[in-house]
Amino acid sequence: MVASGNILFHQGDPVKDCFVVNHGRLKLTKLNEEGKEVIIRYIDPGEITAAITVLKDVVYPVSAEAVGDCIVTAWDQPSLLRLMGRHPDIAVNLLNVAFDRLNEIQQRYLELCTEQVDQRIARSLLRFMNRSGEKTDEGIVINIPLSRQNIADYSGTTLHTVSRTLSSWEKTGWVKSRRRQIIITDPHALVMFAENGNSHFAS
Amino acid sequence: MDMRLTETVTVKELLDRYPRTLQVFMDLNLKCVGCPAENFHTLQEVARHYNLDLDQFIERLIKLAMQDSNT
Repeated sequence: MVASGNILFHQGDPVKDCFVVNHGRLKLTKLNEEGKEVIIRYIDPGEITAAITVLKDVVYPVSAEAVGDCIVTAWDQPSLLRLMGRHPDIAVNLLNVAFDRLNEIQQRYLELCTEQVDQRIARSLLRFMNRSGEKTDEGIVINIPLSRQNIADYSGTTLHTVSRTLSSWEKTGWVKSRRRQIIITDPHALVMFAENGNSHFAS
Repeated sequence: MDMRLTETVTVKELLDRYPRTLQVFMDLNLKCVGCPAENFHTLQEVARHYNLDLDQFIERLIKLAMQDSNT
């Protein structure tokens, strides 16, 4: 059990276990040398994190913080390696997860290099919506406490730009934002904008 | 058909259960397939966004969905 806001493992600590989230959600972040933090991803129930521990004796590449109270299962390296030897499907599944994550990072890198900043913000919100959205009468609520700074870090931009962009989208009726909560009120328009980068295409 | 095709069915539910209905989305040039909102948007919302007649749209989907149920 990891209480909300507590750290399960720190970036730079020697690896020991990998974890499966049973309940709650983990936020993975990475710091650079100047102490700037970037959100790498969220780990939802049923997902694994720190799988690198299985194959490499290194340090944790990211930190994991509990968003809300979390229940996790820890697997140590010898147990997992033994299990994989006995059940190769586990290794295949893990490889699948690793490739999916690599794909997502490659996609985000491409967006970072090629897209306008407001398109990247749209894509970030849509990613969060896709993974953690809940449909309500108001729109699709993103069920993760998200600050504007979080969105900025995730999208590779500044707090100022995120605030300005969200305000303009609130005016056009695409999103509603409250303190640490975003509601996508017109997902269709936001998707069209993320794809085309031009609000002209949005209905 | 084991799932009633009504306006409240989401795009994802539809395509998971009746993959052949994908053809309708392609024919009408609807960008819903694989969209981050496919899990949330219902057929009614799709029709609204793309200015389609809801009944006709659902009728087209049912035609193809029947082929899926027959296989």
